[in-house]
Amino acid sequence: MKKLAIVGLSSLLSTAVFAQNNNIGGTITGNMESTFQYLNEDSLIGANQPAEKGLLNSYMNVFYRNGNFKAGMRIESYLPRIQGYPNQFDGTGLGMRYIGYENDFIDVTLGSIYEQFGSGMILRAYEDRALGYDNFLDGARVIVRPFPGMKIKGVYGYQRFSFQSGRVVHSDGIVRGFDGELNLNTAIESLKSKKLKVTLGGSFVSKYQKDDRDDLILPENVGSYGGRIKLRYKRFTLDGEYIQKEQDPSADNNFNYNYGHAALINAGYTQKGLGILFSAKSVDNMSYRSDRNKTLQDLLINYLPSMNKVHTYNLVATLYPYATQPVGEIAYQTEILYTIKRGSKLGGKYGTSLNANFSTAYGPKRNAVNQDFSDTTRVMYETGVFEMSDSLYWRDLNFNVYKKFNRNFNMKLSYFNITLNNDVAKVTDNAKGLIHTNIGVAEVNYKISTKHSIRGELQALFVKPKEDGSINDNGNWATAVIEYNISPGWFFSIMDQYNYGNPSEDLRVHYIYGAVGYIHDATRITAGYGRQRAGLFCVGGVCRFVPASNGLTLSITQSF
Amino acid sequence: MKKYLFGLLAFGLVIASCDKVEDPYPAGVSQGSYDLYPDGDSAHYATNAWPTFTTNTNANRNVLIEDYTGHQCTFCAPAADAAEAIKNSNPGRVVVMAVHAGPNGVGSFQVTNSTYSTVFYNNITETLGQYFGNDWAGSLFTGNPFGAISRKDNGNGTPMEGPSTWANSAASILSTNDHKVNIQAASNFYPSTSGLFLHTEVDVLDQNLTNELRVVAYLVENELEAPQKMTDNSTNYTYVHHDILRASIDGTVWGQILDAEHEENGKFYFNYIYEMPSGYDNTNSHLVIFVRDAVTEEVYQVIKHEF
Repeated sequence: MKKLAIVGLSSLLSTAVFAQNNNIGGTITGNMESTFQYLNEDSLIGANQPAEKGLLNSYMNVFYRNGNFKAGMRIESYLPRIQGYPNQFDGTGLGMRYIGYENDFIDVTLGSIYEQFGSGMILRAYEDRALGYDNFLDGARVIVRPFPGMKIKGVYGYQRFSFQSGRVVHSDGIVRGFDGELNLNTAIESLKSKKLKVTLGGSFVSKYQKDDRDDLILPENVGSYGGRIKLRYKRFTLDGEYIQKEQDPSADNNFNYNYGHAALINAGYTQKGLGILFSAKSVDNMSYRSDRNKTLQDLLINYLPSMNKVHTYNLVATLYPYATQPVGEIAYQTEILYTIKRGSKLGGKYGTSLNANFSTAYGPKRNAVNQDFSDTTRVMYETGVFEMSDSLYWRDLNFNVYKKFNRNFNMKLSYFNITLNNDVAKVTDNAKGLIHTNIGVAEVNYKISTKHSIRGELQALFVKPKEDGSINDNGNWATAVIEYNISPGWFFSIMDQYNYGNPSEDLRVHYIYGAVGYIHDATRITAGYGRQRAGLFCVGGVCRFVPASNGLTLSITQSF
Repeated sequence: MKKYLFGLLAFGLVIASCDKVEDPYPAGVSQGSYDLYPDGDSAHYATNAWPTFTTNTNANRNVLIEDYTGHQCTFCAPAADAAEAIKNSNPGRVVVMAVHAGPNGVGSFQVTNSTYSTVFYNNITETLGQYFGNDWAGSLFTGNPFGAISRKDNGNGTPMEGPSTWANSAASILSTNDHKVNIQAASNFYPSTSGLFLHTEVDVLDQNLTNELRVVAYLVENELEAPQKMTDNSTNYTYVHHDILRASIDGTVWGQILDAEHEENGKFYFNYIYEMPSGYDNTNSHLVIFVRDAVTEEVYQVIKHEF
């Protein structure tokens, strides 16, 4: 790997120098981000001061392209990592690098590869810097486009597990896969003008990891495969994907020898002023990792799309979020967006937007088999696609109304009713079973002048008491946010999260956080100071815990 | 287009080598057979012979002494006496197991010849000896006699220690009585088939135990008269060997994981069917059942089960 890195880096640099000296072109693009934290001890909220006091996360991506040649790399630095960032990040070094060649027929890449097959339920190698997640494949990828409408991909590599002392640490197991996708309307001349658009796809992924148990015979090659279809007819869309995984005993499933499955259906209808979306997902035993002994977010080969709305308001997004359950869940979501016409009684001069969303998830129904203790198959249960138990994991019903009153003033009112099963998708140690919450948010924007504007949010979260009437978890919260913008460059904000309903009076704490930022072209500099409470940070159903902190955060981002 | 599809198929076949496992248990890992139950089938056993556990009232942590020994080892007999003395001084609290192995597995102290013809070693003792001797970085176990007292690391980075400290180490564990795990067992033995049906219940009392835990069940022979080399280099032809580790009843050296599959109402249940090897019976054998930490190797609880 070291050799590969050197070859990649020198190719990149020498080509860039050559391009510069000979003025034959080539483009370099990229971006960087650096975040510094200086944290204080704050025993009241459980915030610790790290021994180093100062923490620094930095990275820079550089991408080079010249004709058909492409290369890229990322230098990462964690000295040490900032609070709450996963412990898989340590030191300074080359975190990602690749070289490749691409034309209309073929695309070949060697090195670090990000890739997704279909919806990702069988393979998704991706990076999310905010989440601290990076599971790229280190190896080779070939994409062939043999004729218009047809694309075939093949990948082969070890996954990135962690970054220790500035070096990438790989998974134990190797991942191999291929994917084919055919757009019938592009490939077949007679279908080009048809209103029904059809795309078909199929994937196969296999992982290899040596059997490391003496008490079980483990399958060393574990395959998964599936197909998908995308249909579009006028204003309707319908797509579906089904993946089956073969025996994959692991720490996630207590080393059972069941097959796993994941099914996904998305349907939609859109017209001017109206959008209706419906999604359904059935998952059982679909934790698919290149190391069977890993848990949490480590070395996942696949990604199971979340079936709940991504909320942005602070109290809604971070107190009781739901993390996708790869071991099993049956989930549904529907969303309706409707805009009341402008000029009507309810629509007013600018129209009024309404949005309603409902999502829910249940545990799969599992019918026990092989109760006899001398059974030797380790097939623990039977279940079917969309076979649902009565065990509620998650429910979210939310509405919002957006109204623009005049050119300078608009308002958005939102209501959320959320139920989370803390025994399954655990977010707190202070509650058991279902946690019910009601949340209301009012957001207003006012444009003072062409350069000055102000935005305010008021949020209130009410936690339903326990059956005996006592306060559940940390009780009720309220949040107020004021943000002042001076275009084009400055913004100032202050946020106060107040846990006024905490059962302990000592912990009815104000979490006040102020921030100031300056944007100049592609440069953004922000500084923030204050308390931040502990909570879960989730992106697309993938979550990480962020501990409470109190201190200064400086951040600079730059694109080029 | 045909050639591309052909290529795709070929590529698929190359990597489509999925392994399907019909029986996940290795040949050595016994899951037993109800053929050893002479009175009927599994349903009959479940109705008529399956035991019911009552509340485990034990409040003590017991100690496991593993005496790594050999019949040609000059100083092993006194070490065995020391282990027996500790056991006798603490009735019901100390379990002794003689492991006939050296740091290389089977060494010169364990091999057989015309005088020392009894085979005391087996694949279990050999694996244990190599693991705690050669494989354990910095192990002090370099020869016999040596031992482990509940495989607890006394601060020197190894669970192994010489016989001179066994008494103190055992006393320390007994007096501290850091009771983290409870075990109880019930069994049925059928002489006509040599079938042993063992049922164990493991209760993890200390929820701070986050490392992988495994339950181990070994067959131990009570006594056997056979030659032993003594401290004066003579041979005692009528020496009585005690508590000899003979086999693992589920075929595993390191035991089975306490996982959700075996959990019911917060306790773990492991059931075994074992056919006693010829030459052994229940009158001169017992089981040593213990729970070990798969990371540190510490033994948190041990019981001696007679059947």
